[in-house]
Amino acid sequence: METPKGQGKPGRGGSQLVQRGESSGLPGFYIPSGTLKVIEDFLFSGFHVMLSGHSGCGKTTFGQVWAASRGMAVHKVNCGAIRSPRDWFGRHEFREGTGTVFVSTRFLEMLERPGLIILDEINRTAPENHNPILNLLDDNREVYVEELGRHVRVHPGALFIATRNAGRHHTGTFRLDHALEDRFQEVRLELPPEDVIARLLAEKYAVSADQAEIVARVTVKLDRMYEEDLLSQTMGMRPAFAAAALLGRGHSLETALRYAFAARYSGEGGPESERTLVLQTIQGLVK
Amino acid sequence: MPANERRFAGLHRLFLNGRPGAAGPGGRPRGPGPGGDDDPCGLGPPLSAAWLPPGADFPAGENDAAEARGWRAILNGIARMAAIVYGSGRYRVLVDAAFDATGYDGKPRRRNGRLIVVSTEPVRRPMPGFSFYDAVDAMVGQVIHEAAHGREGREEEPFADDEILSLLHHLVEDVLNDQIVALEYPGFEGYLLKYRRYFIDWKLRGDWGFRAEGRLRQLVLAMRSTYPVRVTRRSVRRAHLYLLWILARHRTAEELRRVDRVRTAEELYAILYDSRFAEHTSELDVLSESLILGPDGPPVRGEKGNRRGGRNNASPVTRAALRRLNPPAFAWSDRALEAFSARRTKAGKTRSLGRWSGEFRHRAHPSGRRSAVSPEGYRRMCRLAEEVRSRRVAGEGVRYEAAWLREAPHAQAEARYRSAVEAVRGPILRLRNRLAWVNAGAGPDRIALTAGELDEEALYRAKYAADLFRRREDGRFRVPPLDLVLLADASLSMKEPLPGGDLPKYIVAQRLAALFVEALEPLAPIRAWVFSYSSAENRVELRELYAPGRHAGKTRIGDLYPAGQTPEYGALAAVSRFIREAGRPGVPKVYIVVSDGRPDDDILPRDAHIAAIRRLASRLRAEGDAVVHVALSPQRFGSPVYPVSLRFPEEGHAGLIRRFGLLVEALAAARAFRR
Repeated sequence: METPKGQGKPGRGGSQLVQRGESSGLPGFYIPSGTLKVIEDFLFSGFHVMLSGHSGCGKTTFGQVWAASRGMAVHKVNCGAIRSPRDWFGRHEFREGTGTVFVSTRFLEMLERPGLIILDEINRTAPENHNPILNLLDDNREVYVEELGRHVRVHPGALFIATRNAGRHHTGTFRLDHALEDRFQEVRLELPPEDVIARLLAEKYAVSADQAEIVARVTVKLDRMYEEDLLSQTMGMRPAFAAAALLGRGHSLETALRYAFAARYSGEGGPESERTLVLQTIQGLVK
Repeated sequence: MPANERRFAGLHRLFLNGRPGAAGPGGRPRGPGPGGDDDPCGLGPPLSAAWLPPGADFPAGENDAAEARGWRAILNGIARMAAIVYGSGRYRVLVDAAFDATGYDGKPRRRNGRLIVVSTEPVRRPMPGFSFYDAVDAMVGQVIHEAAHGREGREEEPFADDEILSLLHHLVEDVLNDQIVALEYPGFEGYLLKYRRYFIDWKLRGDWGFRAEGRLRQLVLAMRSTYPVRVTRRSVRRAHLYLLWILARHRTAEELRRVDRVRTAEELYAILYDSRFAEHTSELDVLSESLILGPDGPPVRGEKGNRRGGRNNASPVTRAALRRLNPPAFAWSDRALEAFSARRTKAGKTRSLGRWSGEFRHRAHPSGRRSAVSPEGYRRMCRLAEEVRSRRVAGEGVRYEAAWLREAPHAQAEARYRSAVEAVRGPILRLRNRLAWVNAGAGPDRIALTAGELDEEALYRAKYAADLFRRREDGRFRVPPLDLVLLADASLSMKEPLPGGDLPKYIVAQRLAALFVEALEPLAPIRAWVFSYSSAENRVELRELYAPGRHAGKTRIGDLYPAGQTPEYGALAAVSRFIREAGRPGVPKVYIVVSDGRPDDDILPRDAHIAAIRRLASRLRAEGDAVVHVALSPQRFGSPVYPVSLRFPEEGHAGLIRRFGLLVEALAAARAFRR
């Protein structure tokens, strides 16, 4: 069912879905064409790609959209849910009449088929849990699965993209083993330009072009201020979506920006707090 | 609102001194304006209230630790605004020493970053009507302004040896940077306006504004003040409009960044000072503030009748447009500009013009600039201009229409006159005594002279004088009959202060007239007249301030007030004709012209004007009369206009009064007067 305009929620968190493929030629997603070409060339040359970037910049969504555009099967592994090394391949289940059986994961199935495997939030599981996939990702491209009693070989058409959020602010993450990190080529995704963000917001929510433009400007400015170490939190697309959603529901611009952006920052310190700085920035950008 | 209109409205608000009542920052209507209850500053609600704690107020004392912490937090909050505009780690904000007690240290992120010094004066000495939030707004505006300078400014400092060009360059930078900030951060516009309201309108106008060179001061105030500024000079108005046109033509911040600021400053200089004959030409009336500010922009209409900034059928103000209106002036200024730029490029820097704030204040254009073209080129240009202008007026003949005005004195004229008399009471008494002694042939014997000055009178009165000297046969009185006329300049430039002080020149002229009248009043053989002259369009207005006989109302001298231009030739010619009728036949006439500069009006080119005065002075001299000029400002270039001139003394006001007294004494006693 189609979500009514103005009341929709961002289905994929920080997605950068746009109506038309932009400079990249990728339908439904904005990514600079140069960046896209580098990613594709890495993948088709047998390298794995690690996508990094601020939260909400579209790392996961990119994999899904790209695979769809190529007509490839795609599977996203939620790495944060991997509790033990064996969780990659399957689990033992008791079934009446059959007894305890090994149920393989879809990840295991996808390894032997052409398609894209997205190792989402790969640094949210403990480093020892990465050990079983180290051989899958190197030149051996195989792993012996005890439960199956055979080697599982990675299909030549199986491609890997991993995503991660790195930095001191991501408290639930682990530092990656260098051996694993070395198996990926890192590509950083950035926020889309202001005009793309504005168009996206205007198309997705019932906001005017002027309002969408202001929200986009605030988003990009706060993102730059994070890069300049003026703010402690990254800025992705999610606050922009939140602000647009509030605007779409009839809130004032001031309220939308205050709750969607400023409330994310600490107010400790009063006039010299981060929240004050964000409020001042918003004040400067809003006419 | 279409983008064009929005842009022009913003321009109007920032640089056309949007009056209270026009749309304020953030699209909010401005309050009732200064003095109103709701919004005493006329700049909308305070902006810092959005992020300062509610109920913040001025500190009650400076020793309270908690209060110091609070202040430190506020100052840090203010200082961090620079980071929004300028970026992190490139600056260090310091506040003035008064806030050392708060422990604020500017949080330097990088020691070698740009230093931004913020004055806490708005908080310590708020202007009337300023709340705490308004004062913080003014400080924030200062931080933003300086941060914009840091981001947009260049490292090199052009025109370091030329104060006028340096100030013009700084003005261009201020204006462009403010516009860039307003485009990129429209919400900060209110801070900038509040900053300008305090530092330009409140502080600069009082402390600094009236010491600047006249045209420059008007231009700076016109561009930077948030109150309406009355621009009286056409060259200033053109410079003002030219700068606005540059702002309107460059629509984005990137375009504004590409504006050559050095070149713009030089162009402004050329408009202000080099286009000499364009200053007082009636054709340029079309260059009013109602001209449109861009080739395709809509007219901008402020509220409450403020229509400055737009008219439908006007063309944009460009140098090309100005050139069409007055080709000679701009041909000259273009050549001067090219030659000057070439010389700058060659020499690497401009010539030093010295300090301009004092002695250069009244020059038509700085003398150093005159050599921007060769002497031959300059003479050719002068000839060309004179020919063009003379041809234009030749058909009608050079004709001055003189209007004689004898108005009833203003209610406060007597008080003003008394004030002038009080100011020169000492010189009046001294001069009266000396003239009385001269007149009566008596006086105190001064034998023991210590200064080495020969007291001729005492020698005549000595017992052995008859054996030594042959007394002159001068009849009953020693003072010969004489008709003396004081002609005081009442042009607008007389509003400017006398060099070396803050006293307006017209006040000094009042004092000279008071000294003249009061000192000569007891001398029956001498009849004195005082007139002031100015112009309204092509008409010379002569006001009779004092005349002997039944119209001897001295108090009208207190009504001497500047307005219009300096039609010196027309005034002198009309007065000499009048005195020929009103004066005593056979009695020599002396015309004392008190003026502050070179003659200038709408009828004759300046050079032709000066030549006419010289011809008139020669004719009067041939008839047995004399013309003496008393200068209220130093003459920096050119040959003197009058054959006899009392040059402006180095001592300033005191020296002027003293030397004027000596002149009157010399004239009255016929001692130094050589016909």
